[in-house]
Amino acid sequence: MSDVVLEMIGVSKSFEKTEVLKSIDLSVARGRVVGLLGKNGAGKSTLLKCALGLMKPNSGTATIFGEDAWNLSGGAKARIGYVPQKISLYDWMRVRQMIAYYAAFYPSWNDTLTAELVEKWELQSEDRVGKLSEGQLQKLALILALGHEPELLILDEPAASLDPQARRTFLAAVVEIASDQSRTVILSTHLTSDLERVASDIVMLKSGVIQYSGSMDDLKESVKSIRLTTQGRLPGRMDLPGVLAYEVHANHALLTMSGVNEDRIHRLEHDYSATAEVRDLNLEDIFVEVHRV
Amino acid sequence: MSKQLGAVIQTYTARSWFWTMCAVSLVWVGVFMLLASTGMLPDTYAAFASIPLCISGVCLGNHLSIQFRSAQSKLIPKFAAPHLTVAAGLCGMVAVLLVVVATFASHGTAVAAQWEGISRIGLLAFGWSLFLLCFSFGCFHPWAIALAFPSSVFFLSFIKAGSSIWLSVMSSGPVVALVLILNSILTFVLVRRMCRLNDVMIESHFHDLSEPSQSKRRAWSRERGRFFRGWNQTDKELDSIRRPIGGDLRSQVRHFQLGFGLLLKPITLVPILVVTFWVLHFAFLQIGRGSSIPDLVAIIGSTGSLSGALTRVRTNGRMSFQWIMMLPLRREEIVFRYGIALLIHMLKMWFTITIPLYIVAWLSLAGMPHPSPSLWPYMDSLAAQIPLFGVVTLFIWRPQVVGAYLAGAVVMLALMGAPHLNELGLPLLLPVMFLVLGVCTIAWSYRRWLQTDLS
Repeated sequence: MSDVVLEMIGVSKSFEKTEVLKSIDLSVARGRVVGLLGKNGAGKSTLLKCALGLMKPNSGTATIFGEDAWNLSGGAKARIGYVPQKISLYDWMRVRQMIAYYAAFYPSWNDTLTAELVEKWELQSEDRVGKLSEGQLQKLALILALGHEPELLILDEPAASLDPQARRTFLAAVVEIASDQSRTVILSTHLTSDLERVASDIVMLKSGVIQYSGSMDDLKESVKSIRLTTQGRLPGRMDLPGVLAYEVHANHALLTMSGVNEDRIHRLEHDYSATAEVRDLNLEDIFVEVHRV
Repeated sequence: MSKQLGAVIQTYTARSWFWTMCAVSLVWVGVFMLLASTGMLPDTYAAFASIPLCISGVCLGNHLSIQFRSAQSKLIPKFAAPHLTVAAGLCGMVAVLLVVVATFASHGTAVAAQWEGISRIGLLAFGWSLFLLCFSFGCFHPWAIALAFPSSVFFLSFIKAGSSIWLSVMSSGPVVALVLILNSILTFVLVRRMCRLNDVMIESHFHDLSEPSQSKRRAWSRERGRFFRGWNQTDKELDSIRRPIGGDLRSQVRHFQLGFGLLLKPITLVPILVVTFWVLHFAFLQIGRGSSIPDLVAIIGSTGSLSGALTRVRTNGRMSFQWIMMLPLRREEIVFRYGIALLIHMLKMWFTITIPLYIVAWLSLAGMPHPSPSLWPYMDSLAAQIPLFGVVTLFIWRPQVVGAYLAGAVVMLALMGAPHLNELGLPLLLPVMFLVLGVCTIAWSYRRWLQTDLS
């Protein structure tokens, strides 16, 4: 069994004259929880849709479980769970009917799990889908995506409308899925705190280009905030290699740098006759700094 | 597969319109049995059968488009087969119902002679064509329901106008064979197109821009839009809205009117319709029904304005009422101004359709004037706009427009009864009835607009 669950090679997608994805190369290994991070309009949803075969890329290829995403077999589809950003379910059906409708198509549907989630998330089985609030609708969509215990779970902004309690249950469900090493989760969200709790890998997308793709630990390890303090005056510009953002205030400067290691810190101290104070950044800080440039 | 079929059937049975349709079908069969107890003429049968065909076509198309356009339809394994099987089963039930009814209609001794030589397969083939037309409206046009009723009425009128010619065409072997082949191809294309529906295609108006042909088509559509906009100067008008909106009634009503928009302005549409009606009139002349087009004032005028208003209102959408109601005016002021704008829109549509009809009635062929046609049908049709407006505004808050159709059908039936009232010397009775009915429905609707939740 291949270890790569999802692979995109040179995927580009344009809408009219706007190039939303620019030659994306991405490979997601089995058992990983990947957080897809980017500003509004960065191309996150388009990337996920191209990966799932809901959109046809202008160039490049996308494969899931080794199959062309545009022509997925029924067997491959049965191994995928997806929650779209815009949830469109059948308004006129009741919650239980909607679940039964989905269950009929999946051979591995877990009735116990769905019943548990319905109860935990306080959904009323007899409520009509059209009458559900945004958050309740999102909960239902999540239940439908989780019900067949998919090997690959793709979630596009899944927790945006959930209340804190439901978000916690949802994250617990994701962690539970992720604990099974054969399962993979791709999660697009703005909520960096959620990603920090569950994601093992981060893909940072900026204007249709992947800025960073790798493990969360490596990202946090390599991007640091450095405060340089000197007796004299620091230069106004500090466009050094690896500097994502900087602020200079006479005798002290605040740098956000990637690829930080002891050697680089010593070199900085030596070059500017300064003392360096290194601070760890959380994901949100890194995200903000990357997008500030 | 049976489990999946059951689940798909439940998507129909859980809908209220499904049961409404079942009830309407039962009433339809009951009325039919009553009318056809001694047999029914083939042309009456064809007209009678067109109504359930149109309605079931548009409803089925709409239902399938909802199912197939969601992203899930591409990701749920083996999604298409059970959905298409159930849809085919429902189509089969409609076909069987119509065949059974045709058999019953042709059994009366009084009509047996007329049914001789009428091809049942021919009737079925043309019924299939009409079904496909309405199905594609329902599937690909978001506001199809507004178009289905005029289509069925127009088809009904067309059949009635030249029944003998149409029935002979429907019974001609080569024509039927050709229609069957075309239907098969069209069905295949429609099903294939529907199976490829998804969120993305909906977002990009069904066009996948990665295909060069679609890019060209999009470019052409853009050019066409630019051409019409330039012609209409709609853009200029939109830019000329005074900001903030003026305090006078006219400016405020105009603000709502501009929100409706029109693809073509009346001044552009009238000549196009005159030419269209002339061509149709000429076609009717050829089959010996020269005066049929002007006779359709009531039906075409009313259905045109009704569908125009419904299309605009449904396009605006329920959500946009939340924005509309937040405009810096009191709620009753907004309702009043929105209502006036909608009524003007309906009347504009009505005049756009009836002026060409009057021209065609007066100049049945270009340069050949007739005596001035009677204005009574136009008066009746104009008066009917008032209750129709009331009905349209009443049903804006309902997700289903079945009620609006029923009410519209009642008004149109009343309009068709107008000639009989004229013969009885009571030409004013119908406009007065419409006026009273209109005032009542508008008052009721106004009260509802003031009290309804905008959730």
